[in-house]
Amino acid sequence: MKVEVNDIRVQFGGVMPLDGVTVTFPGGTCGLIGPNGAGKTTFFNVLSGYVTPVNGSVRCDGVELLTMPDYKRARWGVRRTFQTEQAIEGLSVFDNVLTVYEHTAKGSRAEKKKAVDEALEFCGLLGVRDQLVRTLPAKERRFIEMARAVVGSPKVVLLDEPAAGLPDEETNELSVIIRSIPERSDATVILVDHDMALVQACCEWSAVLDFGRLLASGPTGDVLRDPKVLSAYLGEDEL
Amino acid sequence: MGAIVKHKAFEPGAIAVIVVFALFVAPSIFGAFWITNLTQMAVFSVVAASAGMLYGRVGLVSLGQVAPYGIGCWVTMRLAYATSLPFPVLLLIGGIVAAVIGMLIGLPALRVSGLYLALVTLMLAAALETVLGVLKFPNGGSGFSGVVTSLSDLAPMRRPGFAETDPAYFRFTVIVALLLFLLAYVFLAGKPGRAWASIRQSEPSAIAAGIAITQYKLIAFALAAFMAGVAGGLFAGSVQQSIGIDQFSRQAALFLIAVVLMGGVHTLWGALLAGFFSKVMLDLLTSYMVGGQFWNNFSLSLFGFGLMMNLIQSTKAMEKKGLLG
Amino acid sequence: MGILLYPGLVLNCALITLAYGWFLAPKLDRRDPLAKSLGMVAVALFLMGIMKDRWDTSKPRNLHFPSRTFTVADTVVSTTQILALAFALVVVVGVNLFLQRTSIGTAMRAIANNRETSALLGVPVRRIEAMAWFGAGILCGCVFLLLPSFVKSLDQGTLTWFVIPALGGAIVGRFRSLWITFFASIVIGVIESFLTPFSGALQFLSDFRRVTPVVISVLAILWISRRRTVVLAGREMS
Repeated sequence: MKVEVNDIRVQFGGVMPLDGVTVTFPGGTCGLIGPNGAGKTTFFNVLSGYVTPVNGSVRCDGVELLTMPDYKRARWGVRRTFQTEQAIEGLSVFDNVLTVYEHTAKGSRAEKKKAVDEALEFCGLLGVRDQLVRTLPAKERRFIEMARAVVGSPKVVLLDEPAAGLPDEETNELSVIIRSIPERSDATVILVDHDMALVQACCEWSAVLDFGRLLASGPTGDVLRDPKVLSAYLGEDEL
Repeated sequence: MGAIVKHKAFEPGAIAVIVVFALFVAPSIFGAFWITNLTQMAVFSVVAASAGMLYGRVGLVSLGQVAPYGIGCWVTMRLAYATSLPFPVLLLIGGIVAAVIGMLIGLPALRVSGLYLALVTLMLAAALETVLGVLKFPNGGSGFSGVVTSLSDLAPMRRPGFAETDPAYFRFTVIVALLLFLLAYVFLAGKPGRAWASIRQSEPSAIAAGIAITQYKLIAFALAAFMAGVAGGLFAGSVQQSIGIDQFSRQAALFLIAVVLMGGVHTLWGALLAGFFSKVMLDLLTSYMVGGQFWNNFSLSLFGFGLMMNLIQSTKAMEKKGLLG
Repeated sequence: MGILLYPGLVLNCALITLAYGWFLAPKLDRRDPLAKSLGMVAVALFLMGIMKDRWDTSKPRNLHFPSRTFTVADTVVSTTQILALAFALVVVVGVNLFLQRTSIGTAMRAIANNRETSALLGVPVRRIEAMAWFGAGILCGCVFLLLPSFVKSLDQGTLTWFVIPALGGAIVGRFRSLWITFFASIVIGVIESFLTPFSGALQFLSDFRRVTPVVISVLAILWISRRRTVVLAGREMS
C-alpha cells in the first residue's frame, strides 16, 4: 500500500522542522533515516495528527489522512510506537494490546481475545500475557508496543526508534518481527532508527531526511551509498 | 505513580466482612449518634471515591466534587417534597441531574488540564456555594426553591418506607454505597478503565491507540458526578432537615481533596478511610479525648498537616522510583 | 502598637509565606504545579484551623485604613479606593520592572522557565524562590491592609476566600501577564458592582453576582484552549 506524501511543511515560530517534503513510500518495510534534528519524529507527529502542518497532504489507499481527527486516524489504521516506550504501566500485557484493539476494531469477546492473542504470539509475548507491565523489563515493554502497533488490521505502522536501548540480540529478534509485519497484515511499515544495521536488515527501500528536506530515496543500499547522504551524516561539505 | 492493580482495589473477602459487619452487627451495637455518623461516613466515602477515581485513575484533579454532591442533595430533596416517587428513584434522578450538569461543566473544564482544571473546578465549587447560599435547601415549601415561608410548614425530608429508622437507613445507605462502588468497579475493569489508564499515563499514546480522549474524560466526569450526586441524596435522607451549605462549601471542597489524598486514591480502602477521617474520627476525638472542642476547631489544621505529610511522602516515593528528574 | 501596627501586619504575613517557601516548598520543588498548589491547600487548611480556634466570630471586627471621602460627579470616592487602584498599578509596573531589570528578577524568570537548567547554571534556586515567597507575602500583607476597609465585618472565611475572584483574574492572565491579570480583575470587579443594585425580577443578578469571576475565567479558558494541543514528553516534539 503506497503512502503518498506531498509537500509537507511544518513551522514552529521561525523554525521549519519540515520544509516541503514530498516522497512516496512504496509499501512493505521502508526506512526513514537522517541525522538528529532532521525532522523524522516531526514527520511521524504529522502523520499521527499531533502536529498540524501549514501545508501538504498525505494520501494512502485513496484516503487523505491529514483531514482526519487524530484519534480517528488510529481507527482508520495508522499505528505508531514512541521513542520512549509508552506501554501502559498499570495494565496487564493482554489489556495493553486489547486497549488498542477495542478502540480500532469491532468484534465479539472471542474475536477480541483471538486478535489480541495472535498479536501477542506474533511478538513472542504469550509467556507474559497476564503480567502487569509495571513488573516487566525494558525489552518486553518494547515488544508490547510492537504488539500494540500490529494488533488487528493496521494499514500504516510508524516505528520511532523501536530498538532504542535494546542489546544486539534483542534488536535482531525485533528486526525479524518488523520484517514480517507487511505480510502479516498488508501494512506499510515506516521505520525510523539510527541503527543502520537494523534499517538495512529490515528495509529494502529508504528515504533520507536532512534539515527538514528529502535528501534521497530509493533502494536502501543505493541510498546509503549516496554521497549526499554520506556528507549529511558525516557533516562534511558538499563533495 | 501508583498504578492500577485490580485485585488490590477490590479484595472480595475483606469487603464481605465489612459489609456483613455494617449490615448486621453495627446497627445493634452502636447508638443513634454513632449510627448517624457511620451513615454519613458511608455517604462521604462515596464522594471521596468519586474524587479519588478522577485523580487516581484518570489523572484529573477536580477540587469541585462537592458541587455534584450538593446538586444531587438539592434535587433529591426538592423532588422528595414535590412528588411521591419512591426514594431509590429520587436518588437515581439526583445522580443523573448531577451527572448531566457535571458533563455540561466538564465540557469547558476538560479542555484544560492539570493546575487549570483544579483551579476551575475549585471556582465552580465556589459558584455553587453562592447559588446554594441564595437558593437554600428545600424544607417543605413550594415554588422552585421549596423553602418554607413560615416555620409551621417545616417538614422533614422523607426516607424510604422500608428504612425509616436510623439503623434501617444506615443499612440502606451501605447497600446503595456498595452498589455505587460496584458501578465504579464495572467501569474501571472494562473498556473505560483501560482507556483511562492510557490517558492517565500518556495522552499522545492514548490518541495513537484510537482513544477519543475528551469523550472518555467526559464519561469519567459524568460517572464521578453521578456517584457524588446519589451520595448527596443519601445525605439528605440522613440529615432530613435544615441542611446548611457547610457540607458543600469551598472549605469543604479543600477538605475533601485533603482527606481523599490522605486516604489514598488508588483503592476502595482509601475512600473508606477518607469517610472515616471526616465523619467519625473527629467525633471520636471530641467525645473521648482530652481537649474536646479543641479537636473540632483544629480539625482543619490537622488535615492540612496530614495533606502536607502525604504530599512530602509521595514525593519521596516518586524520587525513589526515579520518576522525578 | 500604633505606628508599628501596619508594618507589623505586613511582616507577619510575609514571614508566614517565607517560612513556607524556606521549609516546606523545597520538599515539593520537583513536583508538578498541581502538587505544589495542593501544598498550598495544605497550608491554607492548617491556617484556617488555627484561625477558626483563635477568631471569636461573636465579636465583630474591623480594620479601617485611615481614609477620607470626597464626591466626584455624584459618586462618593474614598482615598482608600484610590490608594488601592494606585497600589495595584504600582505593583504591576513595579513587579514587571523588577522581573525584567534586576538580577534577582531575571533569576526568578529563569527558574520559572526551567528550574533544573537554572540550578545547573548556578542560580541559587532555593534562595531566590524563598525571596519570591517573601515578596508575595509582603504584597499580600499590603493588600490585606487595604481590603478590610471594603468589608463590613471581618471573619476568616470571607478574607480567605478573596482568593477566588483573585484566581479569576490570574487565570485570565494565564499566570503570565500581570497587565492582563490587572485589567481582567478590574473588569470582574466592575461587572460585580454593576450587578449589585438589581432588585425585583432581576434580583437574581444581584444574588448571583459573586459567580462573575467563575463565568469570566471559564470564558477565558474556552478562548485560551480553542485549539487543542497535544503535549508531548521531552524530545518527542522535535
